[in-house]
Amino acid sequence: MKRLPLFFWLLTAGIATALLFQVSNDVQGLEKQLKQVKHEILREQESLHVLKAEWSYLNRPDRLAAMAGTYLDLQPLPAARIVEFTDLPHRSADSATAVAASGEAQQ
Amino acid sequence: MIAKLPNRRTRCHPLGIDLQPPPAELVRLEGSVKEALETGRNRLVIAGIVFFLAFAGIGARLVELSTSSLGNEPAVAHEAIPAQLETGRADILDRNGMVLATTLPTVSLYANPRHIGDPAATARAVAEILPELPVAEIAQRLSHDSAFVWLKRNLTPRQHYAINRLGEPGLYFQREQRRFYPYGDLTAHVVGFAGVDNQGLAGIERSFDTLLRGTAAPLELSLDVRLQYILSEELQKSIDKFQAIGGAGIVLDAVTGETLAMVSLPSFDPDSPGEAAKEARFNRATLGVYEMGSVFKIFTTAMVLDRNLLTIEDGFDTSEPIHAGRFLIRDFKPKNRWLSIPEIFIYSSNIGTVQMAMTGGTAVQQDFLGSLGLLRRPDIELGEAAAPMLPAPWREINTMTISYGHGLAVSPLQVTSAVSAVVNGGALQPASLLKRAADDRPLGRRVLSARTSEQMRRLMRLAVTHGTGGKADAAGYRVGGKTGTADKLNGRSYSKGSRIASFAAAFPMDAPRYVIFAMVDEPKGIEESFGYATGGWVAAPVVSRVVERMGPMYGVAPRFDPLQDDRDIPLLMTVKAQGTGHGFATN
Repeated sequence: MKRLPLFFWLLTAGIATALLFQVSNDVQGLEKQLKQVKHEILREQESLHVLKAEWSYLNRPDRLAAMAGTYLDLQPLPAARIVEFTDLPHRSADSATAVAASGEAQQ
Repeated sequence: MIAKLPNRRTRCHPLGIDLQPPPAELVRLEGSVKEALETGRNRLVIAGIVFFLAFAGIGARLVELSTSSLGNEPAVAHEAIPAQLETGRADILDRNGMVLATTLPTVSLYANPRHIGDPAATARAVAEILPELPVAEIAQRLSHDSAFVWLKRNLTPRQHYAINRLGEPGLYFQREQRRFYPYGDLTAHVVGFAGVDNQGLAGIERSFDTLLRGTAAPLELSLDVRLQYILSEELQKSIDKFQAIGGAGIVLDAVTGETLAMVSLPSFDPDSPGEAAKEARFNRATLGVYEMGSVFKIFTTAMVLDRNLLTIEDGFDTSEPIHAGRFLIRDFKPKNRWLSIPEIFIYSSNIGTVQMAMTGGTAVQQDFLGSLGLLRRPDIELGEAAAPMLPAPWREINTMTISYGHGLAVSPLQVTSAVSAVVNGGALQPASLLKRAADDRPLGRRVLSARTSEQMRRLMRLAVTHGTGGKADAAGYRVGGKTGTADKLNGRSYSKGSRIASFAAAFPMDAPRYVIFAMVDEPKGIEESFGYATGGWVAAPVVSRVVERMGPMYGVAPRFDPLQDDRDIPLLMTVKAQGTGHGFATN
């Protein structure tokens, strides 16, 4: 019976050591993973950086102008086409009844 | 030898093998035998202690390593990888966040000739991938007796892959950084360029070199690449049309002093500045100083009005040319009659302007031009900014010629800043290339009264609606401005054939927000302009086209009802009354 405490302490020490090494091993694994993730982040940042430069390069005004000329049916906006809301004519009574009439006709 | 005999005879094996002594018997040894045994025991104890210490040390270290690597020991993984991408040089952005300059990772190719077995074959293979390098040169470099030769800096990814595929063990790659300018020659003069060793050599790259190298945060410029493109394109059209040698243009925000666009043509490719002609690298907008001609009448007129030397109703007789020293001051298109100040301004009369300036004299002129920042180097964030060329000594004749823009050479940037102060209510804002926060409204330095500024706005609008700047009018955007045409100095005399045509404008004239300056260097008269190559023919159309294109982009509401100024202001009445029968009064 005298040996029971000794046995207990030995067992405790053994379990503690095993846990310690287990945790330490896990941490090492996680650190490796962290390092890898950080590398990946850095790689992603680098590609973002390059893509940003490419985006600016693709947005060169002369290129956009050439592409708009080829693919879009647009033209520069002349000042004469810009009107304010207050410049719009009031709807006259005639046109209002005409709209109402066409609405009824559709129904 | 044996000190004490046992009681009983020790049993001895006949063959001399020790037998176990009977338990009760103790053998006591003395003398040398005892010493030998003691020595042996001591050695055992010492060895035991040494081994115990060694194992204890190892054990302790084992525990330490397994436990402490989490805490106080530096984690290697954290140090090897930077938390942020480090390019070694910060980006430069325009006001909308477009990248004007950035640093990209590239690879460079070098070789260790000692590891290359067959230089000729390797050279042929490399030359196939890098056609810009001649085979002979590669072969010669590869047979060099050294352990390191550069073959090519900054390969493209495709070239990198192809060289890698060769599998030649003597070829190596070096990861490098390379400065890249996505907009190329569009912003070359402002942004500048950096050398191979990451050192800023021109423009913003040079003036903010330390800052760009020190931080990762991008530097935001006030430029707008869209506007930069519009200005550059329209200037280039005019340069081509009038077979000019170059041009410059600036758009300033009159309220904040921010430079929205700054163009100098011809431009150059900042990715290979070494190949550019020296003239192309010259920034005409800030480094070039020119006699600006009649644009200076803006300042002379503002001076006499602001210093209360004359009122807007005054005027001068312009029928006689002025003799001054060896000069004869004449009008380009003489009216040969008395002209009011608005008329002198809008018809750009030299004779009238000289008489206006002489009411103040040299001291007043120096003081006024000085307060507008025209007599010293501008505070722009560019190393390439020239100080003006002042007359020395500044005699009366200089005062006379400077009043209409001859005899004082200033940079386009200085003129634009000064015009901005004249039209924005009278506060001089130092022109800047850095973006300001949206709510940052600097006070500026008051250089003329709000009343003078308002009068000048009306006069400049009149010069466009009724005067020499008619071609600058962009329908709806209420442009005001002043033409300028100056013969270029050729040594000590003016050359008739080469001139500077310019136009300084602001819009919308009821509350000017944008100041535009366009200048074309050495335009030639063409048939369409009836042989003229004046500011009104060459530079004014640039301004109107730029305004037409930037107006919608910047949300300037067009208005087609005539301005208050155009309708019932005494200024125009004076002009109309005086100008009866002179054409414009009828329209």
